[in-house]
Amino acid sequence: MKNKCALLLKIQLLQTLPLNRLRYSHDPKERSRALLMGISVGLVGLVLIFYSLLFAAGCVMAGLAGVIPPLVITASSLLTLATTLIKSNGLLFGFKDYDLLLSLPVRSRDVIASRLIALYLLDLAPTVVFAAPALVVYGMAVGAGIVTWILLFFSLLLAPLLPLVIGAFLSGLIALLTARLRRRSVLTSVLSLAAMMLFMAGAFAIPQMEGADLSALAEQMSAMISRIYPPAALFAQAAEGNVLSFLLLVLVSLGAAALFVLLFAKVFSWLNSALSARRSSGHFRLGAQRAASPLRALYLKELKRFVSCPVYLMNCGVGPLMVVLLGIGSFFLPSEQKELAGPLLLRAAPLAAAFFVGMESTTAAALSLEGRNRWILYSSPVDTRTIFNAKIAVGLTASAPAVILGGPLLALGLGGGPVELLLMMAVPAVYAVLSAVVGLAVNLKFPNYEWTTETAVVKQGSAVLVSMLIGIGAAIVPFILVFALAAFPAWLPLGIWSLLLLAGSYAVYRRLIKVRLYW
Amino acid sequence: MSQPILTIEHFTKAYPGGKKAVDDLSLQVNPGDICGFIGHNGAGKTTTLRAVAGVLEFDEGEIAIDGHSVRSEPVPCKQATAYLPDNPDLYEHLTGIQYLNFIADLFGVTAPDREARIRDYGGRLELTANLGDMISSYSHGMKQKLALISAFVHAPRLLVLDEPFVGLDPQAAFRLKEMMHELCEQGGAIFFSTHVLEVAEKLCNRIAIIRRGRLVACGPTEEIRGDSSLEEVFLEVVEHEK
Repeated sequence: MKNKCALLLKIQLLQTLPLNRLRYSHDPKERSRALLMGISVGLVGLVLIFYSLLFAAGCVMAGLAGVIPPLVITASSLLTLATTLIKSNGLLFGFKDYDLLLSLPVRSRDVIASRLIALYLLDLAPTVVFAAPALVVYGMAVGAGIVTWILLFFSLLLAPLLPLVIGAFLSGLIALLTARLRRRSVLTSVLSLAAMMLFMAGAFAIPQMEGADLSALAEQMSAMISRIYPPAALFAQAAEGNVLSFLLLVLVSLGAAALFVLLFAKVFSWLNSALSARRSSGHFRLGAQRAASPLRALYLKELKRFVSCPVYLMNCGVGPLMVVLLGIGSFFLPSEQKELAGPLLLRAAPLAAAFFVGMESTTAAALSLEGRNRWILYSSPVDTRTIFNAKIAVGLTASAPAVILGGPLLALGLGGGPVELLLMMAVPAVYAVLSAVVGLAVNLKFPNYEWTTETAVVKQGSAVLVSMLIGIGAAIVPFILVFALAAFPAWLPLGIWSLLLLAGSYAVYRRLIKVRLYW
Repeated sequence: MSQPILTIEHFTKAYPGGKKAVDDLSLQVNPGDICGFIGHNGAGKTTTLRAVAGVLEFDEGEIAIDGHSVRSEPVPCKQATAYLPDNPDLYEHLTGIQYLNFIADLFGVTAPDREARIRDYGGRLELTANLGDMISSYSHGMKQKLALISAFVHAPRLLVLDEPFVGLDPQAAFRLKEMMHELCEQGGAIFFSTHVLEVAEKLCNRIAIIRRGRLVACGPTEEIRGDSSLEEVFLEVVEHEK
């Protein structure tokens, strides 16, 4: 008899990855979409490998090879934690086919274990892609022996497990706390977002480092990293060939995962029942109603969708909030560092803000998220322009914190003047428009209406990936220009590039509004 | 004789690969008609209803609602039409009243009108007390009722329904039939599909039978039925076409 956990894992992976669509779908569009997603993922992977190698080479050249293992593992662990926080609700619990699954002869433990393993495998890929190149550079730089290489390999495989368990635990805790509450979707979204922002703020809290001695600097950095993520110390020791530290890492990682599965199985049934419970109170009294324009009605509907879906809010809301965090953080930069690097930072800051804003727009998933509801919009007497304007408006609303708050904070924190203040608001605003309009166009080209969890669309959809690549590309080009044309004031290349982007966005918008929406 | 509310002429829908879901279908629905559209699974009923609602693109034939072409004048057609698919998926992140107001806003229903209609239909379908709750907390039947209220709230000229009685309790089904008759008495028309032939027989004054994408019978219910039951006629027509 086949292992049930393995059977469930197979189904879970088939559901998450487009393998079945590639193999069995007769629809050429669907096959090309699956293929495009694969290509997009591949491109993102190449970018990650490139940055990983660049970073590691830079550390080695600076004599800081020793910080590579703890630093890359901490970075990838924080990312795993953040993405698990987003994905767990809907994948690990609260999934739509819960009733179907638990009516089969399977134990809760098998269901949880299979989904945890699926999440682990999905997190392992980016961890390996990002960390492996840097660790190879590290190993070659320190002349690692065969034992160290073996320990590095297996430590890397273990790396996503602990942050995955922590993220799943936090997500489950938030779901448990809000399960019985009326506005639980909104509360879950807000609490999850707050938890992620706290982690990010903690990770960015860089204490002042003293001394020019490189070995002392390396020690300080390692100590700082271990404060942020203690298991990084175990990983660093395992990377030096310490077998005991490696064994402790194995014990902690696997032990945490096993404990989580056992404990979560006890509340699994209760949690899922609470999440799917129908609690219609039946106390409503109809009073006077208010009418609104179709645009306002569509905008409010769209905004409620954004706020009530945790994965959607966290995925698209974190970027702009990061700009606000950076803005606040800029006030705490040591004055010596501001004097030294201030002009450079002021030159790069508008693009850093634009990068966070342009990377992820709500519109890249807005059409797909209509899913099986799309008949409502398609059959309503509203033209495409109004429907799309509402979705774009929500995209701009989500970006607003970056433009209105983050940008000015960055400008003031870094000691900029009126020109820098204008740039710090205008450039992110242009990228907000670009990502909102282009995101919608990309989603129109690569929709996915047959999703079973929002995560499949918001985090794994090909439209989101393609849109993100466009956003990254649009931020890298001016970055190169601004520093290549260092003789010119930053506003000149940024201004010209921004105008080009606006013109491009307008051209895309004009084409978009002529589209007719059909099933 | 007044202009038909719905005119379908030589409607054909083929999917990639060349398979025709509907082939050269023509029919008319006049003001006051309740036209039952019946056929086996996969016959082409849903395809036809979607095309009438302006939700499905098609290349051959013409569909007109109140004289407006669905292809070239979609907005006026949709303004006059209320469409409900089978098992309608609604916005679960909204409350019932938020959803009704949303639909009413899209159709430009004034505040006093929507309040009066929601009060009326909500009372008849016994859903008013639950309108303040999230749609995600509704049972299947409650969602069906909410969808029906949303269809009637903007007083459509043409009601296009795909299996509207599925999930409704007997009382709600009775109320729906009342509401349908009232709409027709006020000059509207209904074009709906159903598998429940007894309901079609009692409710509809016109019947259209579709088989493998082709219209095989269409006319007044008494003529179609003759001396037999609609079920017997349906089975005979379907067997004969084999």
